[in-house]
Amino acid sequence: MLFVTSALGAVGGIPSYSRATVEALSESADVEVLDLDLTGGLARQGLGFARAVAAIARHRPDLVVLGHVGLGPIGLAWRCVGGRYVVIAYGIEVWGLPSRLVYESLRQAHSVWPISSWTATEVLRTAPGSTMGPVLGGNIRERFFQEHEPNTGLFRILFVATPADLPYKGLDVLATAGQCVATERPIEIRVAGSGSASGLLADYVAEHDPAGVIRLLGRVDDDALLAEYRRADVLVLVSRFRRGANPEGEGLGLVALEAAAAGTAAVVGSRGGSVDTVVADQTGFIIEPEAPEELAEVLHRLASDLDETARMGARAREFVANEHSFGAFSRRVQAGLAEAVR
Amino acid sequence: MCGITGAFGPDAHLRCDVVDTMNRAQHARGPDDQVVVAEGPFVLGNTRLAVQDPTPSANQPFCDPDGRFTVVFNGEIYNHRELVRQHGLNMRTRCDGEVIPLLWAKLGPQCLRLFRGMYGIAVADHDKRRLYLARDRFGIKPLHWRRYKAGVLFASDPAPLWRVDRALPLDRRALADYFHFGAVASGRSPHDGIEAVAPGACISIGEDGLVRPELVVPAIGPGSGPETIATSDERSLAGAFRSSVRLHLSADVPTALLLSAGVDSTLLALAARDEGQSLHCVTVSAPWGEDESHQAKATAVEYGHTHETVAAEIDEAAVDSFLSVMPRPTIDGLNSFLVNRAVRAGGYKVALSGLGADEALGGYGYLRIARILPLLHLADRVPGIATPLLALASRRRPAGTGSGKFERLLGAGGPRSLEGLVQLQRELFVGDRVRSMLGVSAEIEDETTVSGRGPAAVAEAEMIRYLQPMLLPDADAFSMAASVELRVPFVDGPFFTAALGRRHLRGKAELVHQMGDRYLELLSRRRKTGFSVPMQEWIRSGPLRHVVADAARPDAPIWDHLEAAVGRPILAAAGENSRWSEVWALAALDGWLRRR
Repeated sequence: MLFVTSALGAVGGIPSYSRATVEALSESADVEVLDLDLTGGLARQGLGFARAVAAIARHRPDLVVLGHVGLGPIGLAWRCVGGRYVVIAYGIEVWGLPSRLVYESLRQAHSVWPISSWTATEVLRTAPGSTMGPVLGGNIRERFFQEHEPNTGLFRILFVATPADLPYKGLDVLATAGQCVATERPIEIRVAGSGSASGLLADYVAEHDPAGVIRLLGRVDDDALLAEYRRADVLVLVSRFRRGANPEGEGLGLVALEAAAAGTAAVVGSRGGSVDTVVADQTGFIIEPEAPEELAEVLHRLASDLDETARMGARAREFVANEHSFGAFSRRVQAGLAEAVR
Repeated sequence: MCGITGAFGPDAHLRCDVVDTMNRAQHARGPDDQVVVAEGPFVLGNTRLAVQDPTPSANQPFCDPDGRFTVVFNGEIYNHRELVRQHGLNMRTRCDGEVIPLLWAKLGPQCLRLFRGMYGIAVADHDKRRLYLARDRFGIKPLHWRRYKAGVLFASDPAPLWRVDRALPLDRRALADYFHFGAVASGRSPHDGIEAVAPGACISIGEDGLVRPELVVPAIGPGSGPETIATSDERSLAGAFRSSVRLHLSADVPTALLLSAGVDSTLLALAARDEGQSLHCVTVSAPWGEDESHQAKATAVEYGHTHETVAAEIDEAAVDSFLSVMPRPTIDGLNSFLVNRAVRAGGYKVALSGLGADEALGGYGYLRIARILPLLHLADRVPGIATPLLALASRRRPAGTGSGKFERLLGAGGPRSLEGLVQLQRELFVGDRVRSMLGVSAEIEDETTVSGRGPAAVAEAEMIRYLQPMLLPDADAFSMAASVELRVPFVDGPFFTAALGRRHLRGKAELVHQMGDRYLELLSRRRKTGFSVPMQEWIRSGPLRHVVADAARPDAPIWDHLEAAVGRPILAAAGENSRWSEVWALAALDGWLRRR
C-alpha cells in the first residue's frame, strides 16, 4: 500500500493525523509513504504530482491512500489504469469550493474516509454519491489520558488557538461571554497558543477584555499544554462555520478530545466536526457558535456546580477512551482498509 | 388518516356491539379518538389519527348542514382547501373530511371526481336510506364490506369483518392471485364473502341489500376526472410533481420525510424546500443494510431540512407482530413494517414516502431488457433459434438456481410486449405451477391488459401488477399498524398522467433534469439503493426461520388449502439456493392463517 501525503513532518493537525494514520495502517499492511513537497508555484506542484504518479506506477500498490483531499487528482490518474484509492477528508478543503478535479476524485474514490460525521455530510453534499468509508474520528494517544486536577478557586476556562485563527475559533464570543460570567464569579480564560502575530492577539484582548479575565499564555509546548488540559475546568471551542471561497470550521476539533482525555469537559459549537467530540449534556455542551449569551449561560451553569462539571469531565475521559483513543481509531482504519482491499 | 367501520340494514341498531368490536380492532389506525354512532338503519364507527385540525371539534362523523348525509372517512383529501374556496363551502372545522358531506350534498357521488388524495369513505344517506362506499382512484386506502344477517358490515381492513363470525372460507381466486403475483389483487379480499371496494369505485347499497355501482373514477387515462385536466404548470412532469408535493405537505402536525440516499426521496426533499417548507427527515438505518444515513443527512443539509437517523431492529417477536398485523397475505411488506415501526418510535405521525416513483417513471433496472424485445420478436420468426438462445441463457448461472424467467423471456411464447415483460417480472409462480398447487380449476390471469403504449404501458402494468395489489396495501397496512400516516406524492392523478406522457421508458432522468438542481443531478448518477432486508439469509438462519419451520409441519394450516406434494419440496429447499420469495410465499401464508 502507498500512503501519499505532503509535509508529513510539519507541525499541525493534518500532519499529526497523517502520522497516526500511517501508524494504524502499518499494523496490518505493508505501507510505503510518499511525502510530497507541494509548496511553491504551480510548476513545483506539478512536479510533485508527476513524482507521485511515477512512484505509483513503479510500486503498483494494491491500494493508494491519499492523505488529504487536495491529492485527489493523483488518485484519479491511478484509477484511470484500474487502480484503487481512498481519500482522507478533513474539513475546510471539502467545504471550500473544491476544484472540479478534486470533486471528481472524491466521487471516483473507492471510498472516502472522513475524520468526522460533519465532514462526511459535507463530502456527500459536495460530491453526492461518493462512497463513504468509516468515520475515522480522533486518535488520542495514551499520554493525554491524565488525572484531572481538582478546582482550587478560580473557574478556569481554556481556549486553544493561534492569532491566525482569529476570529473563526470564536475567541470574540468567549470574551463577550466571559465578561458576563465574570460579574457573577471569579473566572480566568486561559488562551494557549501564539505565533508571529501575537501582538495582534494582545491588542485584541486589550480591547475586548475590560474585566481582565483573559490571560494569554503564548506558545506552549506539549507538556505545558497537557498541564493546561489537566488544570482547566472546561475547554471552549466555539468555532464558526462557513462554506465557499473563504471557508471556516473545524474538521474535528482534536483539542476538545485531548482535553477530555485529561478529564476536562468541553463546550463546542454546533456547526463543524466538533459536534463529534462531545456527548451533548453528558460530557459537555454543544451550543450555537455565535451566541455569547448561550455560552455565558452554559459557563455559568458549569461554574455553579463544580462537582457536576468534574463528573462531566470524568465521563468525557471515558467517552474518549472508548471512541477516540488511538486503539479505537486504529480499529476503524483496519475496518476501512479491509473493506477497501476486499 | 383513520379507520372506518359500520353496519347498515333493518336491524343495524343490533350491531352496535359488533361495530364497536371492529372499531377497536382498528385502534392502531386511529389512536386519537374512537366513536360509534347509530341512527336509523346506520351504525358508523371511526378511529381517528388526528392530522388535519387535530382538535376534538374535528372528530368524526361529519354531517352536511341539513343532516341528510353522515360521513365517516379514512385518509386525506389533499386539495380540500382549494375545494372549500372553489365551492364556497361553509366549514365548521379545518379538517379535510368535512368537505365530503358538504360537496356530497351539492354533487352526490360525482364529487369524488374532485378529490385529490387517498381515502375510504362511507356516506349514510338518511333520506334515501342508502349506504355509499367509495375508495380513492389508486386504491391507496382500503375499504371492505360483507353481508351479515339482514344487512351489511364494512371496515377499512378485512380482518375485523372476518373475525365477526370466523365462518368465511378463503377465496380461491385470491389464493391464485397470491401465488401468481405475491399478493391479492386490489379489488379482492382474501375471504370469500368479503368484498373489496375496487380502486376508484363508488357503490351504494339499499335496505333491500341490492348493490348498485355508482361511479368509477379511473386512476389514469380517459375519464379519470376533472382533477387530471392539469393546469399548464402541471402538464410538465416537474410541474405535476411540485403540485403534488405542495398538496401532500398540508398537515397540522409536523411532517417527516422518509429520506434515503436515493433519488425519489431526494426529489421530495428538493420540492419541499422549493415550497419553503422545512421537514424532519428521517433515515432508517439497520445493521443488515447499507448505511445511507450520511448521504441522507447531506441531502437534508443541502435543502435546509433537519435530519435524524432511527434504527430498525428485528427479532422473532417482531416477525410475529408483523404477521399478526398483516390484514391479508403478502410476500412483501416486512421492510415497510420495520421502517414504520422505527418512524413511530421516533415520535412521528405523518411521513412522506417516495413509494410509487419507480412504477410511475419506469425506475426499475429490469426495463433495460425492453430494448431487446423487438429483436426477440424477430428471432421468433427464425425457426430453431430458440434452442441456442436458451442454451446460452442456461450457461449464465449454475443449474437449479434462478427463477427461469430469463429462459422464459428468450423462449418461443415468451413475452414480447412491455406489459408482458412487467408481468414476467412481477410473477412469483407461473400459471401452471399455481394450478398445480391449487388445482386445475384455479382462475389465473394469464395476461396483463393495458390501454397505453410505451412508457404508459409500463406504468399501467406496474400499477395493476405491483403498485395496487402489493405496494399500496402493504404501505397502508404496516404504516397504520404503527399509527403512522404514510403519504405518497408520486401516487397522484396529475403526476401519473404527466408521467405517462413522458418520452423515455426510464423517465426518472427526465424529472431530475426538469427539476434543474445540481445536487440532485449529481446524486442521480449514484447506483440505485433502497431499504431492503436479507430475506434469504433470514429464512435460512435468522428471524424468519421459525415461520418456515412452522409451515413445514404436517398439521400446518396451509396444507388445508394447498397441494402438499407441490408445496413441501419448496419448503424443504429453504436452506439451499432456492428463491426466497417462493419459500416465503408459503411460510407467510401459513403465518397469516395462524394469526388471522
